[in-house]
Amino acid sequence: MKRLPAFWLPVVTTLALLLIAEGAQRSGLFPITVAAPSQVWQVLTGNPRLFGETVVPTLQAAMLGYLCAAVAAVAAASVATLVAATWTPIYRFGVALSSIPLTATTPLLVVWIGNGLSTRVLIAALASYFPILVGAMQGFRAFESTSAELFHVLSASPLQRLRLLVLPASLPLLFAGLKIAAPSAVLGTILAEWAGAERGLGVLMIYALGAFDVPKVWFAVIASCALAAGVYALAAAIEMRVVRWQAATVLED
Amino acid sequence: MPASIAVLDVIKRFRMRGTDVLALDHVRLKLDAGCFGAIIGPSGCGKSTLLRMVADLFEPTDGRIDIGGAPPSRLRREHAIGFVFQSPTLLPWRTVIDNVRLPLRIAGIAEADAPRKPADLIGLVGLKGFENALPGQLSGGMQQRAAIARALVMNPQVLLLDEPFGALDEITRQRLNTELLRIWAESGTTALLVTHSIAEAVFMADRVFVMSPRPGRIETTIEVDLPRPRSLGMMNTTAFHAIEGAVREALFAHESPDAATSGGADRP
Repeated sequence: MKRLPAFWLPVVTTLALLLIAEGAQRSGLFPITVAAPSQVWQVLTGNPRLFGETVVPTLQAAMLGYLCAAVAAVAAASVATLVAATWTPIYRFGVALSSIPLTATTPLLVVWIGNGLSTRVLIAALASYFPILVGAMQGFRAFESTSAELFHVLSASPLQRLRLLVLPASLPLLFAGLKIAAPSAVLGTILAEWAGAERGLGVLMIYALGAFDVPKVWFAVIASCALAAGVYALAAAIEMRVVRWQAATVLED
Repeated sequence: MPASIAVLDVIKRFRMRGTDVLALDHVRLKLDAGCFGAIIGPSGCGKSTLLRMVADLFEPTDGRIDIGGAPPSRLRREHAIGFVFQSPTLLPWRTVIDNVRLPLRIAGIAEADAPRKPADLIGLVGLKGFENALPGQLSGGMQQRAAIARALVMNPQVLLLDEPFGALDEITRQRLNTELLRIWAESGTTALLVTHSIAEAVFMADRVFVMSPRPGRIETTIEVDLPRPRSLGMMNTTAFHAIEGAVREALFAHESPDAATSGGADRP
């Protein structure tokens, strides 16, 4: 019974706010730059091809970039953990990558590589690489020092130590990084689409802004938020399935 | 098969911030197979370091350690050392029974061929019904029981205990000590316990090794000839108090007469 209000409270609040916004817009309380929820909904239902031409390409590029970043970051963190001398350079390179303002380099990359999918994937990956790297690097060191002693006394092989200790112990921090990075991948994709693409949410934003199509701008904004939240929720859902021991409650003897 | 433990003139030096620190100086210790030994000493006397060298976690700078005629490294590779740490050191993502199974998993032994059945050991340490609980759901005392079961699953030749109940409250500690003696007697292994409680050392051990700090060395070895099985009632007997007194005297042998009242506050 305790879960019911926790689930319904945000749903009811959202519906109430949507109704208030609808009413306020219809009675002229909002300026014309604010679209009514029903107008935004009509953007989606009125153009059957819109979803496939905006949300889908953005999601595709964001997910591909996110996966590339995850693979690259975990690989880099593995090297940093295995070869102590590479730890600091790999971390600093990550800091440098994340310090580059993507708004400045994105047009450059579009000019260099073109406005194809690979550019958008690269920029999404650049935007999401660093949090995953930090999560993985901290995660691979997260096991207790006595656990390392235990594995030594038990005569575990390096591979057993990796599989039974280092990797499982890294998961909470790794997922923390993956969750932080997820919305950044969406943001990076949209940024790349602004600098030049044929389809996607970023393209819709630029177009709708130029045409002063207020409902379309709002649709693009809300869809971007939903996409970022959705990728985050996906990472969180995987985490809940994989990292089950964190939510354990304490019993007494 | 329990093994005897012999520490022969062991010296251990550490390099700390560029200077050599002598942690252990000519430490000699002998414990017969199947006996219970206790190492007692103040904080920083190197007793944990000594225990870790018996477990082959460190190597002595000089001297030799001999367990049943073999070096510690061989016993470790044969999965014949059981170690209980001060913190339970359970893997939080594995259930209680999977934690107890961990040494089997690492040694590549199927559960059917296990020297001791994990399920039986869980019963022995009093955790029946908690096999599938995660460590995070258990109290500190229950976690340490699971750690003891894990240390025994390979039927080790020596069981090494580094202040296993040091983080627990006095009442739980007394209860677990009594249970540990029962478990040890049942397992028949050689046990070596590190502690800083005089009463605990005398209550548990056949032989108490008293250490002094800076550099760590064995001051005296005191035989405890109290009968077994031991019960908490024995702690009120004159014989128990006499041995406690002897251990205390050895621990404070090098303190000047007024050290106990004024300058000795940092060396309890």
